[in-house]
Amino acid sequence: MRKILTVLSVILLMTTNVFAGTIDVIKHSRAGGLNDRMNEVIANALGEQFGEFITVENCAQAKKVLKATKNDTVTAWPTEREYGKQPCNLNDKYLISTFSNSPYHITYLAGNDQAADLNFLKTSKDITVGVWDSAFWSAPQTAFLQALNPNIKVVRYKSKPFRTALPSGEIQYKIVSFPGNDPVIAVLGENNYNAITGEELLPGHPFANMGYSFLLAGNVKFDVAKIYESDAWANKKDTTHTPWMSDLSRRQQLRAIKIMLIQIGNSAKK
Amino acid sequence: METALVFIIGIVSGLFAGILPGIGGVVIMTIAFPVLMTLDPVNIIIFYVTMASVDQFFNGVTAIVFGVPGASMNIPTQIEGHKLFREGKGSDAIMFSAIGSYLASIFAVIVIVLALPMLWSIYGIWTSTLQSILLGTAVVILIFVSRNNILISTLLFLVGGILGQAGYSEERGSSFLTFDLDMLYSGIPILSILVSLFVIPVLLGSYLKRQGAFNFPGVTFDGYWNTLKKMKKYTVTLVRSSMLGSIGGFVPGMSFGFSSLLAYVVERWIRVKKKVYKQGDFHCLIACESANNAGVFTQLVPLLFLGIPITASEALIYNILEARNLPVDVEWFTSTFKQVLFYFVVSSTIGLILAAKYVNFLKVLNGLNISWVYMGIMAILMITLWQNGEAHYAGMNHMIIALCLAPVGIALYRSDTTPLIFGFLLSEPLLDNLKRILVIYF
Repeated sequence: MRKILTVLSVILLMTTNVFAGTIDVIKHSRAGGLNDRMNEVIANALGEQFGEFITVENCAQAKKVLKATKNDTVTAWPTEREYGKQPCNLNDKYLISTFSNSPYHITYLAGNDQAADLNFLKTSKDITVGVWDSAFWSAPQTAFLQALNPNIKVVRYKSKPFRTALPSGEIQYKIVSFPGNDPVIAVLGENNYNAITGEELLPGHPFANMGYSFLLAGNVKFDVAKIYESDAWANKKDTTHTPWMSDLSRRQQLRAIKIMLIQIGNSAKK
Repeated sequence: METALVFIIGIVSGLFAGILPGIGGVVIMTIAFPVLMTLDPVNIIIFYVTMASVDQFFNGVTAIVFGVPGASMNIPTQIEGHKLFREGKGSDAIMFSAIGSYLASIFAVIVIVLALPMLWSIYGIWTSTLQSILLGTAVVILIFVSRNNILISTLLFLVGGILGQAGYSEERGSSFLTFDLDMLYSGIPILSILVSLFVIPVLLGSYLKRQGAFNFPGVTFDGYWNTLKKMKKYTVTLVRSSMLGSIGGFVPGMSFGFSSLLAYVVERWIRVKKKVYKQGDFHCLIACESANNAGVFTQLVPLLFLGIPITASEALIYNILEARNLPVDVEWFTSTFKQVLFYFVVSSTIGLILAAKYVNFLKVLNGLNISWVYMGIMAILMITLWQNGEAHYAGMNHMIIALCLAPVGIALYRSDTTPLIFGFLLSEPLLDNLKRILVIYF
């Protein structure tokens, strides 16, 4: 009986410590970018439980911090970093769960009546679409777009020139996870824009449902629902990011991610 | 009350950002982030505009007096200004660059007020092709006007370009010149490059050519007034450079850092063509400094009127406004514009006066052997390098990289390493633009 009580006390003490302790959040990407914003959301969602930001230069350093730190630490981790063999691959034990996902939106410049016509996207012979400069994501995006219209040229943009690419007229559409104020013509997933979905455009295409996603990484057991239930999550800027695979167990989530990454990664190899 | 406090803190922040190399606007904004989150939205913009405008005046002074460019955009100021300083014309260099900067700020305000209705049409021509032409032109002129022969300058530019590509690119999913070392995954830090391959050769070359005591007569308000009167001679330079700086400020991907370089190389090219250029040229100094300051104001316009943040600092501001569900629309920005404009002009005036006070304080160094001053500068730079890196848990890494590059800098002390530095800075946007053009047109 005494043993049972001792064990129960230790468990209680440990659990209490976990909840009383603070959690640090690692920032590992450009200030003001999507990844940075997501880590801000996590920190704000933690409320009084938030410890401090650990700002590092890159994902490799973030990985080192996760391995070395004795403090409880979490961070939003772009899913594509877990594909193949990369310097930023994390050991599965640091992947707490899936976190958020936003479908890719195809947008155009407000006032461009030609681009507002879906037929133009599907049939025009001279059409250029801008995508984010990512070797990993641009491959499936290109595959989808060219299946929709083989004449589409896909151009990769870094953040600054991407902002003026539509107004300059050198592209007619761009694919983004968060459309901001630009009108949306199609979305590769469910959406609140009443826009046509990828599945409706190209039924059965492997990349008809596709979005930019994050995992929650860290060295602590943490229930991601705490973030979803917070005001910080409800008020976040990136409104198209929603909870991702939260109804699956961690094991199922990791399996689903691996399958998704292999499928997308294979498209990049083609 | 909050606005007054924010304004004062903005000025102090700009002062620190200007004096300490590597402490730029983003660092200050990141440090101030938690406080900014609680401020009235107009005050966030006022803080930024005040800090940025004061920063520019101090950056220029540090580059001229100590030969240390606070940021990459001050490299031309250092090339021309520090030479003038070593020739005993430091006071004139500071006053001309300060008055030129101030007039350029006013010029930028006027340009923006006049150009507001046409803003979108400017973005309408800002294609990858135009960006490539501008970048390419700057590079070609830079190579032609360098003190080295063309072959050496081209080689240095290419070496800088290769160094600029070092690092692990998540976009490409591949590493280049990282040798599997974690410290190189983020690429070579700009401050390590600036210290080892630009400041060291310049200070060493400067010291070996002319030794003796540090001598700086200081500046006076009469001097400022006389400089203003003499400024008429530089009107064409001032207008041309302010225009380039103004355009650079509100174009994403160009930035006023690049337009400052463009204004400088164009001016230097004109002076070389006229066969009147000699390092330590007032026209060139005024060109880069005025382009710089004009851009500081115009860079706010895309954020204020179009909701397009074009610098990392502005992206932070934009995020704060949106995170707090504050209106990021033309109506709100239009209502804040006059207030922002007022604080920009006031902070520029204060920056001008404070910079004069700051340089006069430096007279305490007069009489000190220049070698001690340079050693002191190097010591401060190394501490700054370490501290900047340490903010990202990489202080030692940045120091090691700088120390590895230092022997190269020493070996290059007879050369003009500007092409190398700009190869480092411009290779990425240049290659990026060319890749896009290839896809779009071929």
